[in-house]
Amino acid sequence: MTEPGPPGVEVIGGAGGTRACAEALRAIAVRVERAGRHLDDAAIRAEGLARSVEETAAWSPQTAAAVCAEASPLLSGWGGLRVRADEAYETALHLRTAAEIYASTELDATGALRDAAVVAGHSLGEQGPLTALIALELAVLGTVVAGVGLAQARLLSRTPTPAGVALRWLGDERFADLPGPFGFVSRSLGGSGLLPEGLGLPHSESVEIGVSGLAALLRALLPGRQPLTLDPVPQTAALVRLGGSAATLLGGTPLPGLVVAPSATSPSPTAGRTAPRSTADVLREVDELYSAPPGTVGVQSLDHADGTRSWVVTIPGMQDMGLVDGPVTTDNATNLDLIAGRPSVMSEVVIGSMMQAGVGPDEAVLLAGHSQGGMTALQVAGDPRVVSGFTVTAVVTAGSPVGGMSLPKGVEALHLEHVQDLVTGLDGAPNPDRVNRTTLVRDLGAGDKTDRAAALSISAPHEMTTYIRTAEAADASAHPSVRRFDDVLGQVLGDGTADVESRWYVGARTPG
Amino acid sequence: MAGTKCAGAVVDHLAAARAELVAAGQVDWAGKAAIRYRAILEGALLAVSGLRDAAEQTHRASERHQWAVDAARAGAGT
Repeated sequence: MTEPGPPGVEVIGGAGGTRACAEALRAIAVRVERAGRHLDDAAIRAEGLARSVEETAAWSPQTAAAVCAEASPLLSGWGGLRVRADEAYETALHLRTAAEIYASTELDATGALRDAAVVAGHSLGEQGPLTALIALELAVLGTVVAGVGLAQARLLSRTPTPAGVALRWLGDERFADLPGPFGFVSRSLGGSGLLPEGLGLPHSESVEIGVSGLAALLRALLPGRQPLTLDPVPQTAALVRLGGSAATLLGGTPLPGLVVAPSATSPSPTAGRTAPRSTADVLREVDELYSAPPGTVGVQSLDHADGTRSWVVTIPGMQDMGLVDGPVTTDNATNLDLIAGRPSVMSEVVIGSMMQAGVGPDEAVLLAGHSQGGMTALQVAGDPRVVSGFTVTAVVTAGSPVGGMSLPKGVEALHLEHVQDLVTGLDGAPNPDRVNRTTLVRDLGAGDKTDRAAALSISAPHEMTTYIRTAEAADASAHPSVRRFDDVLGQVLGDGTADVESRWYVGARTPG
Repeated sequence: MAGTKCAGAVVDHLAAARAELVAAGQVDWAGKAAIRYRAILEGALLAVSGLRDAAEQTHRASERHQWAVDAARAGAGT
């Protein structure tokens, strides 16, 4: 469900989301139905009263008439108890119907495409590696041939030949908005450049579909018959991770140990820092971690004027491509562990850092992460040790593929994504619409000059500077879901006047 | 007596209906249509509050009627 706001911004989930609406409507319907039953019972009693007064009217006609006069609004066929009871039942029915409509129009417009990609990938994989390879080669060849043909047609449309004139006419911008095949052909031939404007970099939704299909294919290529699953990404991630672990045992150096310690490059705890006031400020703290050694986590205490203390824990994204064990904990191996739902070493780094920093069990904590760091934040929030030992109040993720990850009730999350950020599609699943999870998706192509330039890049949509701009847009959003998250965020950050101490901790895998 | 009991029950049921509508209005919901549905609930609450006032007055009137009937019966020796 979207509210008017900055262009190119869509908000899914949260307190104003579709799921929240459906749940609220059902809860209201239950109450209104109960009110209707009470009104019905009241009507039966009022009719009983009227009969009793009629039977005894002869003994005291005057007082009987007074009772009838007072009771007439209750028994009225216009606004009496029976009428109000019927209205309550009708209202409850409307509310339940509206709830069903909200529930049925929920998210996942690409669900059918994703499922189709999974089934196709699975079927292809079950044919065996050779068939899969041939099919993929044909698909690639077909795409290349189609692309070359299209480029040739577009070049021809610029020549002073009869064919060129005809193609230019077909590609006229007047026809670009027409539906169906004619409009498609027009858009394919129109505009400048060798390829149509619409053909640019894929969006994260396309990646979601592609990753799902690829995961299904890889899984189905395993020896033996593999049962079809519509959620193949976590299992495939686990398999690839297993492969990495096997490669470590065979040719690398296993590093089963972990050290978490205060970082030597940590800024001075009280180095004139001001307390963060917003999501954008928190993401600036995350961004700072990229200037530190890989695997560095930030733990910031906020001492408020009322004597309470809260914490902001910041987690960076992937900083090493390694799939086999290496000392750097923010590597691809950690990515696979998080997507597979396995315990990840970065979660241990974060929990260890929180313990070393002295985070108290009743002190509100905000976990904020970019990319892999956001996935780590969610895993930490759901860790049983954290659920029982700390009070995680809110989570912020930026550019994180967290669609397949769960979040405990009672923790409020804001997920920032960009349509053009391919990384957010790597989980092969959309973010769920939950009352406590708000996803804000921004189309950089609808933004200002800087955003539109970023939209044309592969890397810029995933960068922290771009997400900080999106966080600023979120901070200014009036959407009820975002406002609800901001209220919870305020419980941690306070009014921005807290005394701040920042410390960095770094984790590294070790031989023992 | 039966009439007075009925009148008392009407008051109780209306108080309960009112409580349910108040609780419905307090359901935590920030959706776009929340304003419209809250207006409907407020209308229902107003109507039920009005009926509750009428029920209380009816209850008092039925008590007076019962006393009058009892007195008339006592005077007639029945």
